Amino acid sequence: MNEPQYGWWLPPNVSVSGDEVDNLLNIIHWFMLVLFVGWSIFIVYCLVRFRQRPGHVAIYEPIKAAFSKWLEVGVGVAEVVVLIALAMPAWAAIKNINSQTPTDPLIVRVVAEQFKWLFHYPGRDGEFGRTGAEFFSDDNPAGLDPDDDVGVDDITVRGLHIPVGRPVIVRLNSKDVIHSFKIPVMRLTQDVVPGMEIAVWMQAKDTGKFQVGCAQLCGIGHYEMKADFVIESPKDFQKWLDEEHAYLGLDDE
Amino acid sequence: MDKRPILVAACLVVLLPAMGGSEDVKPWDPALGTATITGSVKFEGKKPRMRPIDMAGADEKCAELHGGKRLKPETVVVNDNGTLRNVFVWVKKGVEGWSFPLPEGNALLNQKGCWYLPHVQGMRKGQSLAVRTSDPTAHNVHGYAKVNRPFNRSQPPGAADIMIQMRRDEAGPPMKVKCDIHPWMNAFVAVVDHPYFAVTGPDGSFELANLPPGTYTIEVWHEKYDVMEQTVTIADNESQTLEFTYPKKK
Repeated sequence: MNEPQYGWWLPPNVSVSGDEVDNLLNIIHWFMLVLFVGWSIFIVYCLVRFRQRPGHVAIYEPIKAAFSKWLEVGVGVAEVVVLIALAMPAWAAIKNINSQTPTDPLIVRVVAEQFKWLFHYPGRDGEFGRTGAEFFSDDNPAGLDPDDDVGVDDITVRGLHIPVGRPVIVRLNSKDVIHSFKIPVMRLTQDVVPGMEIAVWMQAKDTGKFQVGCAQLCGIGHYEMKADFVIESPKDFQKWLDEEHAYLGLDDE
Repeated sequence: MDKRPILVAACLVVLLPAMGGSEDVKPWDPALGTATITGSVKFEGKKPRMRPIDMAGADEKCAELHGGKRLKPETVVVNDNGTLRNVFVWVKKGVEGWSFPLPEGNALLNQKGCWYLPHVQGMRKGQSLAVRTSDPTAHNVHGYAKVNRPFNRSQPPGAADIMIQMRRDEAGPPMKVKCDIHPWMNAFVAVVDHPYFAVTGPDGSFELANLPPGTYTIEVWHEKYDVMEQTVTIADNESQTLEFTYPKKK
């Protein structure tokens, strides 16, 4: 896997909705830096200014001057305003993204297990085969019903391939414990919870080869729980699908 | 009269045979082993479809070792002659009276190409299972033993063999071994207290040779189709043929 070096700042952004996330992250981090430096200077100043020395006695009563009272109230109000000013747009952005219904999406079913990802694409018929927890086994990691002919041409792979520019809905399932589906370059993180299917969508604006990781400590092999994430032109994506179809060996039968 | 010595003696008479348990096990005499059981395991019906495994998306190093070729799970391998591979065959009952010498060396479970070799094997109780890695990528060997002690050990490339002592019989069913890093990797190891076991290969046949004359329960086990057994009585210098057919008739 040739995951690019991330360096000191955010990883590359290849998601159409990544800019909003990045803006928010940048604002929050710069703002926290300002607060951190300001408060640090104040603490150091107080340590020096009010150090213990002869002729100075500590006062254990609160100061009752009007100025310091208004200063405290002022700091409190400012922080509430800042918090709301940051939180509301972030909340609105997430609401906006989630409430849009993508048109003509590619649907991929994802099965998380200790400690790998499995990606399940509908085959040439465009339909997923029937799946169920009772069908999971070592030779059937996607849990496909062996008696269902619709699933025969389904593609089950260990790397995620998507076409650039087309919305993709991933339907997240877990076989065992809670995992978290994370693609840093897509600015996407979503917990995967056993017993429920959680769908999220994304859309890539650039091609490249990156990585899917697990962002929720899930056991001894958590660090190994990663998969290729390949964004291709629609033509290359179709070529890849055709290759995967050929691997199934259905045409030889 | 002091009756205590009599009581102690009575207790000993009752308890000793129960405590000993093995006083009627004799060392094995190879001159007795003249009988042979051979046979084959057939497969009838529709072969289940085994999906080719994409290793590349999970670990490119694994895929490179196979040069782009995709393996299929070894869960159900039906041979060209209609027999079933990877069936463990063993004498379940009939040789309890003997204690057999242990063969030298260990049983070997090799990890090569992110694949366990062999998929199914038998070994003797008291031997060690040497788990070897021949791969340039890390593995995590997870033994789901139910009778013996379970184990879960990580093995980076180039690491020494992991030695697992198998102290107890574990053949019904055999122990499952999995890799926690490569979920498609699995193998089965059966632990038996005697040398009469076999695994069916590319021709689906088995041979249990050098048996003493007697009556035996022969069990066959398959990871998907479970167990079946037959009882056979065999005389000196005799050879008998058994045939099993999977899947079981319901």
